[in-house]
Amino acid sequence: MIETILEGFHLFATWQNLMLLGLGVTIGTFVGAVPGMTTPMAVALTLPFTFTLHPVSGILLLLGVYKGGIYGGSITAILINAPGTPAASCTVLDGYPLARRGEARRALDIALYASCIADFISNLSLILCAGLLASLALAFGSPEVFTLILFSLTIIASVSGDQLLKGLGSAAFGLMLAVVGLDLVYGTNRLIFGEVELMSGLNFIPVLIGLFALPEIIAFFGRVEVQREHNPLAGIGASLVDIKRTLPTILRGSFIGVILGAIPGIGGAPAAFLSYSEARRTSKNAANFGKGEIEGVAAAESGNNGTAGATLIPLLALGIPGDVTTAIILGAFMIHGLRPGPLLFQDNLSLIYALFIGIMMSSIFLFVVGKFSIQIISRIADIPQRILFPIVLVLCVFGAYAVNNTVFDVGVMFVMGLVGFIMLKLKIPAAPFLIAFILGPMLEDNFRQSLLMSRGSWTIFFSSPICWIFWGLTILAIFILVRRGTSVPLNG
Amino acid sequence: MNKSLLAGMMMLIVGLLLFFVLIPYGIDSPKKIRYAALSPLYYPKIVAVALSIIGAAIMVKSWRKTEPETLEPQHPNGKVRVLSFLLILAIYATTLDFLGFVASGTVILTASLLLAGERRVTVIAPVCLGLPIMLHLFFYKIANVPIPAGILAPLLAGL
Repeated sequence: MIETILEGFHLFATWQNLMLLGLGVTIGTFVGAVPGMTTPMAVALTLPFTFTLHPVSGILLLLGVYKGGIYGGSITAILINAPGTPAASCTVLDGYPLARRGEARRALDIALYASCIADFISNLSLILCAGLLASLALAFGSPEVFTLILFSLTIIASVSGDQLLKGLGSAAFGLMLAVVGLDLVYGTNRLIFGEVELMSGLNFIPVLIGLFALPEIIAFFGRVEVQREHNPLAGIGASLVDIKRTLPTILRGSFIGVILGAIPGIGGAPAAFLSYSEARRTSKNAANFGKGEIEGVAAAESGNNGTAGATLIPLLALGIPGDVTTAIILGAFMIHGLRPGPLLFQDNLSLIYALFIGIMMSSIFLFVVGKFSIQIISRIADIPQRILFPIVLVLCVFGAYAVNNTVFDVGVMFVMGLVGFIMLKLKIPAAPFLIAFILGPMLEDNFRQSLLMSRGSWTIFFSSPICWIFWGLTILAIFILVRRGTSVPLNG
Repeated sequence: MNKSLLAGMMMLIVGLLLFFVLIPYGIDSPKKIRYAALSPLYYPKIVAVALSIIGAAIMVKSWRKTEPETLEPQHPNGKVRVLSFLLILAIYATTLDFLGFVASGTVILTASLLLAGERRVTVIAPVCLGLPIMLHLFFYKIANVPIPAGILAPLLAGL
């Protein structure tokens, strides 16, 4: 055993591996921070460069890009209200209000600390509990995922505050927009009206950018550009008090991320929303959520990054890729003649240990790269809005196009920008729309798949203990919300 | 009319429009479906009904209620500025393919910066000329994204 670990250490401990891991994290952070440049895109672009490398070096480079990309998405979410990735969309809820108050540095710092801690816990879970979590993940079928998503949707009520009805209406808009595309079961057209580009549905990124960044830019032209009020926290990073205060939230978010990350197909966005919802439910500062609460940033980022290592559990333990990025990483394994799964642990244990060491190191690299980049990037928040917003507009157009290389997506972004602006004017919160749009397809797909499995019987939704747990949690969440009464609106 | 009433009315209209027009004409459903809940129409119809009910509920709740106005200081020419910017966005969307991302980006950046009140040439010139080219080079050369070059294709090919 120790001999194999040492062998793994020797495989890892080369300058080339360290440099490639650092390079990967840097590339990922940078790419994740560009709206429209997604993590799968960055990993796919890096893949050809790994062909000639040693398997450990190549896979570590890809893992570095993957980890950096997950964190990088939060940077633009905080600074310009445009999430770089769907998983970072929850971060905008509190990150951007903090940046508007001049506390971008503090928000970026907490996002980084939450990301690194969650990533570390997720990596540790991958190494220590891969078998256990893989078996738990296997227990999640369509009915279980349906009840889980249903539970996650209860966050809509809490992010709507005293605008509950408007929030629910906003969520219904989001659910309806998520319907657009080909029907999953029958393959028939749904609300595409002959537009071929809509067959695969509306892409997340143009919708997110349109809904969050553009309305802010349009609204800017209607108001007076005021000098930022003096804020003693402006330009200052997160303090030890901030870290202490957010640590329980970060730990809880990390574990939520680990559990959801281990389930194939869930991804970072539901984990971030669930973590955010739980943080708001338990926080003493619940009223501040959505207005620039540092705990909100910590919850979103820890939930999101908690999935980073855990997503590799089904990949390494079972050979099942949990999302697009891990599917590309699976491809990298296969290109190097390796087949993830139980046999890999049997035949190439030293390689697995080398990867584990590299994965643990990636958290440290993430911290170093993040800390260094924050010093430069946080200055973006100091640019006057009259200069920053036109720049953001052009950046958003390039980003929206880059997702699918189509001008159609740019059009979608503009239309969503207009919709978002109308919502802003009518005081309809955008956050429920976003949550429903992201979780909606998962909800419907798993609902229908469950009914297909049960031949139309609804009892399938009560068929396992996991389903019962989530039904119980959903009812409890609604009960608490009704009892507590919500008092603070969030305008997303 | 207060904003909540308007929001409720909009939701009700969209919900009804979806239920009676857009869903029946925009969603194809096979003639024979064993279980109603599996129909492609089932879930969207539930959402449309929910949207209509929510819209109606908002209308009832906000009927004859007054709402406090926004506290953010509005620009004296705010409405004209917003409409002008929306016009800029419309021009941007329609000329993007023909002009290409760099040329249209330069024009739109200049127009937006001027509309926003920026007058310094030392800021406008480098931002409007430099940023679109930099973004083009990043996406085209590094990320392999085929950014449409439009009328500047011969010029950008040399970069």
